[in-house]
Amino acid sequence: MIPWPPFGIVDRLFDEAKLLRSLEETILRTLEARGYREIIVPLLERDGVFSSEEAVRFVDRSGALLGLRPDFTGPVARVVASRLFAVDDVRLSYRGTVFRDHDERSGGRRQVQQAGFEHFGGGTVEEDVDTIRMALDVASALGLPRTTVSVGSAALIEALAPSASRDVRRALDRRDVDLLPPSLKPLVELVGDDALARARETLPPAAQPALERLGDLQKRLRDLGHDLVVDLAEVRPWSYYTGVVFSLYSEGVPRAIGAGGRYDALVGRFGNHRPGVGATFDVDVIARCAKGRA
Amino acid sequence: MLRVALPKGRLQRDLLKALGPLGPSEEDLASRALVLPGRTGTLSFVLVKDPDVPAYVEHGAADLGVVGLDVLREREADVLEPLTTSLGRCRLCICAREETDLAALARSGTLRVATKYRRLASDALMQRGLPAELISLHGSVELAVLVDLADAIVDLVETGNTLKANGLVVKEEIFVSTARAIVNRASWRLKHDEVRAVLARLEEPRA
Repeated sequence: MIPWPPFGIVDRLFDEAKLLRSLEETILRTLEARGYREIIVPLLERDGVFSSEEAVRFVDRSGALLGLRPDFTGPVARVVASRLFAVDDVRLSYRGTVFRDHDERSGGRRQVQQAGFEHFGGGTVEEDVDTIRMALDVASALGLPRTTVSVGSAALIEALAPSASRDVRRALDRRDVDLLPPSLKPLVELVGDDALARARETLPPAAQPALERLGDLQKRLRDLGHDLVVDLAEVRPWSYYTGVVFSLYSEGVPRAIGAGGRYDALVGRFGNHRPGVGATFDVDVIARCAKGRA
Repeated sequence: MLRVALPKGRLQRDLLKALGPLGPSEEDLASRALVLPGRTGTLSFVLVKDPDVPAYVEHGAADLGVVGLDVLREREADVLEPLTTSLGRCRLCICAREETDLAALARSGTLRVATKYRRLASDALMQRGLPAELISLHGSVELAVLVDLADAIVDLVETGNTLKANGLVVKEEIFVSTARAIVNRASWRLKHDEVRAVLARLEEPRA
């Protein structure tokens, strides 16, 4: 019997391997030019590093619960908390494979090729602006110049529905209005140019600080010539985001090419407190549309 | 220009009525073509089987589609589902002969359940503490009980006439299904206003 890889796990041969590597190179080179330096983090970590229920987990010989990384943010935050906490301004990049035990968002893929960057600084809106501009520059370098950023806010969702369960976040992510608590239902309608203005008028006072921060971000990016799509139901399945969250869509590509956001409490879970913001690209999705163009 | 995936099945007539002038012409519909232009030129349509609608939308072959909640839950595609319509209302149920005691059967041996909805049936039976052997069928599921292929079925019930004609009754309702509009994740952001315009038509089927 030929031992084929498990469901959702794939080999990459020759041209495909070459394409994936060259896209990663483009991403890392573009980032390096702006001060983001590559680090290599473990594929295997103690279970507590991962926020996702979708990590592939197992027990090693000593009885310790370990997991394969389902994303890079956890391991990167651990490195920053333990080894880089004394550095004022940390900008780093990474690339590699992540594994997820059945992630329907990735279309049945259990293995995804990613490359991305994170910035640990002071938690300012300027850093949010820089991160989104950086992500757009990377998209441009990849030959995806017509890329749109869709932004929302994890702080907004926290203000409207504190400690929302994973099921609720998932329902919001799917815009499944029937399963949402009343406080979150209006978000599904709040998409587009006038979304922030409508939100300011209709959402309760608790939502206002998060809306103000988003408005500030939108104005700053607009002044720099970047238009955002505000989509206030924008949400990540991971629970560690605390501020802006965004995803990147390129014309003619049916899935997000990348996503990111601000997570000011994650590093603190591993020790020293440090706000962070970053973005990750789905190199597999980008490769598929690069092949389409070739 | 948006592309809409229309199911070929029982929903189609209601959907075309709701879409009104945005929909394809009668001649085009009668032509057996699978890709049809809309009469106003703002939409085009692909005609696909119900269970295929989520895949077309997830992978961007269509910007949006309409599909029953039953199919959507069975398929678990990565799509947005921003609108529940009132169209195509039916119930997903566990059905058996009146005298069949499912709990007793499950205790004394292995319950045999025939269904087109493997995932949903498996979840529903598990939640009710009824471990079962599932038999996947593609049509006329009621027949399975009549010829003793299965003790019960998990299937859609619309009027209940088919059940009655075959001597079956509803034992448990799993959920009520109506048609949902589903939207591709990228189209929702990149073509939002166009998508909204179509959803608005589907929301008011009488308009």
